[in-house]
Amino acid sequence: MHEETKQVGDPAGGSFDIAYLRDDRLLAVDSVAHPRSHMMARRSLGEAWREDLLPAA
Amino acid sequence: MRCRAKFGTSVSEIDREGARIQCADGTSYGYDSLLLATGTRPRMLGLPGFDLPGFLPLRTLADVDHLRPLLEVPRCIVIVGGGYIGLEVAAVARGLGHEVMVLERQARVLNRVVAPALSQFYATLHTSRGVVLRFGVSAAVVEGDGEVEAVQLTSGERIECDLVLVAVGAVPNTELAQAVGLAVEDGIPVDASCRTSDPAIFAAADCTRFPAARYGLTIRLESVQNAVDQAKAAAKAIMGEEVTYDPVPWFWSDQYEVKLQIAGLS
Ligand SMILES: Cc1cc2nc3c(=O)[nH]c(=O)nc-3n(C[C@H](O)[C@H](O)[C@H](O)COP(=O)(O)OP(=O)(O)OC[C@H]3O[C@@H](n4cnc5c(N)ncnc54)[C@H](O)[C@@H]3O)c2cc1C
Repeated sequence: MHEETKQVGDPAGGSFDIAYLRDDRLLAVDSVAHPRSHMMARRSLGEAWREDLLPAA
Repeated sequence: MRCRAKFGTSVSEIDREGARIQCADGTSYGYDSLLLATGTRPRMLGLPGFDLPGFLPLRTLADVDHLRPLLEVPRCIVIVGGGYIGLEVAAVARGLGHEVMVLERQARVLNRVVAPALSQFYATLHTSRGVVLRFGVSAAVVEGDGEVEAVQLTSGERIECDLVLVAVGAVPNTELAQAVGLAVEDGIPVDASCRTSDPAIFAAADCTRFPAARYGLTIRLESVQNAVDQAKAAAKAIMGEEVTYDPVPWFWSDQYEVKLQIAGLS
């Protein structure tokens, strides 16, 4: 479904997120070793993307 | 209200006109509302060698009980399928010190569900722990005489091993619904109140296909989140409450010490 992905954080650092967007809105987020972003993501689906939508990894 | 559970038999027929179910053990029960929660079963590979004892699906507690004693000696394990279940089992088997190879038909792990960058992260993680990942390959034959000796790939290559574990997805158990003429299409279609095409019959969890309004799609999910939340929605609907089930799907996967959590559908 997604048209675009954004990466937050660095995989080499062990925790990071991948956000999936369509029409610039948040469809889904995969959080690796980053439970805070997962909890934020569950509340933020459907919102327009902005850099501070997910907590820094 | 009273709740009774009955184990060890399957529901073999539904009589929609008479509103009764028939069990394989000969008993039969009437219903006002019926809920189908028949789940999924592992997709099996119809490969030669399927009857060898070291060639196992990964689904149920019984499968694990069968597998556990086989892992008490060092093994050379081939896992067919680089999805969540295959990778989680690979991580555990490596942790126990076994040799592990994962065969994946697609070009990357978790191909169906995550972005390439995440597949790359997991491929690196598994490789760094000593799992051998093979992409673009399919198992063709499991060889052995009384026990597993090797897997032969469709390319003809032969990989020696003594256990073959299969995790290539699941198919919804829809036969019961189909047999009584309920609509079925890769899952039992239900509406947002978990009703099937028969208003007295509801369905919930892995066996259903339901409207995800936030995505404008009908979807089938295999997750604990959906199993629990859709079951609650169905219970409310059966009790006559208005419900609109449109969840935020979420899921997790633990591999080694790394927890992946997924919110939404990509
Ligand atoms: C190895 C594995 C790992 C998983 N890991 C995760 C995870 O980490 N996170 C997550 O969210 N989800 C995970 N899942 C998915 C999760 O287990 C399922 O989504 C959940 O169990 C679905 O529940 P269910 O009740 O729909 O189906 P099931 O748990 O499949 O139960 C269906 C039951 O119905 C019975 N049944 C079927 N037909 C009949 C009949 N005709 N008569 C009587 N009984 C019948 C079956 O015997 C079965 O007991 C995993 C699944 C597997 C297999």
